[in-house]
Amino acid sequence: MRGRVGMLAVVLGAVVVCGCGRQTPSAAPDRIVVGVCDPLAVETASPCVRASAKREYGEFVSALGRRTGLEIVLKYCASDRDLSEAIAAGEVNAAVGKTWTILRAAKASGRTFRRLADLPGPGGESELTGVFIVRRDSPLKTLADLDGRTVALGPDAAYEKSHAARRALEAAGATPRAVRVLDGCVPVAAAVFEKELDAGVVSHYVVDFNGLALVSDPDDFRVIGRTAPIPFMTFAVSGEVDERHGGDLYDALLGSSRLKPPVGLQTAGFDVPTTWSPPELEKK
Amino acid sequence: MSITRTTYSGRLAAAVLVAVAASWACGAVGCRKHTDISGYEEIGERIPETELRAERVRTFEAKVGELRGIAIDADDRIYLVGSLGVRVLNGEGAEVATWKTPEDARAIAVADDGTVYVALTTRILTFDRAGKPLGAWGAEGTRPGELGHVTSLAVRGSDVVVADWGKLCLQRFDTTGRFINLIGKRDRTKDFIGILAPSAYLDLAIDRDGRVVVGNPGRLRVETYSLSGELLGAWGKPGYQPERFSPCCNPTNLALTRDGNIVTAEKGLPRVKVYDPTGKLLAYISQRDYFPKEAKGMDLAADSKGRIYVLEPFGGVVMVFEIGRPPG
Repeated sequence: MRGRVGMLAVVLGAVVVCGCGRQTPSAAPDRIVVGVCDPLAVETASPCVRASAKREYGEFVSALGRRTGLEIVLKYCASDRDLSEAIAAGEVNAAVGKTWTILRAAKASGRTFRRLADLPGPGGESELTGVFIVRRDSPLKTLADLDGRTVALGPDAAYEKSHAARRALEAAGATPRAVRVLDGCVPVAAAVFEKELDAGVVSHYVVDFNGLALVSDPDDFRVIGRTAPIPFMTFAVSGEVDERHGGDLYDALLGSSRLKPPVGLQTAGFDVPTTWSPPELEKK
Repeated sequence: MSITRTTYSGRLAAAVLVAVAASWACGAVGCRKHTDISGYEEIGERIPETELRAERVRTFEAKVGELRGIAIDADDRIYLVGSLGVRVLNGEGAEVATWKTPEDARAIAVADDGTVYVALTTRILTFDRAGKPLGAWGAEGTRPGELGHVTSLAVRGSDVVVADWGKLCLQRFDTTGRFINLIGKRDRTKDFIGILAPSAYLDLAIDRDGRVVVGNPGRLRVETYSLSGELLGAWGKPGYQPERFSPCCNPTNLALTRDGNIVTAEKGLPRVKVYDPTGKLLAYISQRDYFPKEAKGMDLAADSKGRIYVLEPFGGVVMVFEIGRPPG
């Protein structure tokens, strides 16, 4: 165990929410403010899976502070948009969220975030996919059948429902007649159910956690395809974080002083980040 | 540079020619591009020019604990409800009554006869204007007429309509608590989704013609129903643009002005807007100028002079706005 473990850990008990700038200690080299937006966490759940989202971060962040001796503040962000804004505004210098959300926000704001460790989902899954759904009584069977049809995709901020979904359609040789960008599982499922659109894309966890039940019986929908997987959740720190502190965090997540995640985090442990270089991040 | 009718026509013709040429070219070389029909824009808050302008004329502390609801009666008395109970102010802002409720109150409404209706989670209490208890009805349960989780209510004539987030519908009662019918309930047999509210925000109002106006947050729109439950119409689109409802899910709160306009409030991007009954945006009260980003559950009311009252629970205050035409 590292000598530093014996140090007095300074962990702020406060849990704040994104945008709460006037109450939040600002991110600083010696203070880690972790912005958290996890669709499967109690505080930041995706609307469709709110009933199933049980993940808690408070105990984990406290334990991380004790293990590293760093002052760590947890800052819940209600949505990917809030986390992106917190990253852009420099309100956080660490983040737990969808990998694309963090990398995209960092790139857009000229900041650098590096992934220290990936966080598997409650079921152990480390990948995020977009799932194409249709009505149960739809004649559409495959992604190729979406050629000339109408499809609900997600905004660019949701990679699995936008870029990955467009790529999946392209790979299937399908060019939809019209695309409607809808943000959120509820509007997508509703538009498909009411036959406004032939198909829609939702995140895999919406299907896995029975999220379509919010709109109608899950049996009223059928899955006809999935996107290629991308990394799901990650823990990343900004370039402004002192390299030594980054090393301490890495050690606590994956290294020599590896922390056993509290039960509330619903995971057996963190994973080494998988390599992922989305071409969209290379674009200006 | 101004556009004259001639140059406009010229540009229109040119645009048509370009579109035709592009269509031909795509057909010739097999280029097929889908059309984005959403008009979705991922933008920060954009404050629009609107027909009417909102000006904040007053802000005062609510002093009812955790803020939940606001109502204004025919005499412009202001009724605030929160975790500490009910507080009544006159039009000048002086406190005229306070009383406690047996548990956290969720919403408040005032009938034309002055009877005050206070919603607890699964029970409705009635009081006179001074806070004297008159009665109570409602019980928790899953059957029609039983309550799941009340977030709002409205009264008109002999009808009391309760927004029941727990059951994802509205429930109509008479003033004695006798159940009449459901409104906006999912009906699979008719492919009717009904009201979708992923979190505990569901608000309604009844207009002067007895139509029920409800914010359907999951559908990102405002819907109008008859009291018997028939969907009469809906308007609203998802998006961050000023005239749309930001995803997901909004509007959280809603009120009617005396002249029939609809006031809405959103969370995530906290903002308040005034629409005409067809959904045309008339006035915009921005997050940037008035509300903290954490504000949510901003209940609304309007007085006889057309002023809009906005509960801001994060700061524990009530903001009052006058809506009028900009000078000139």
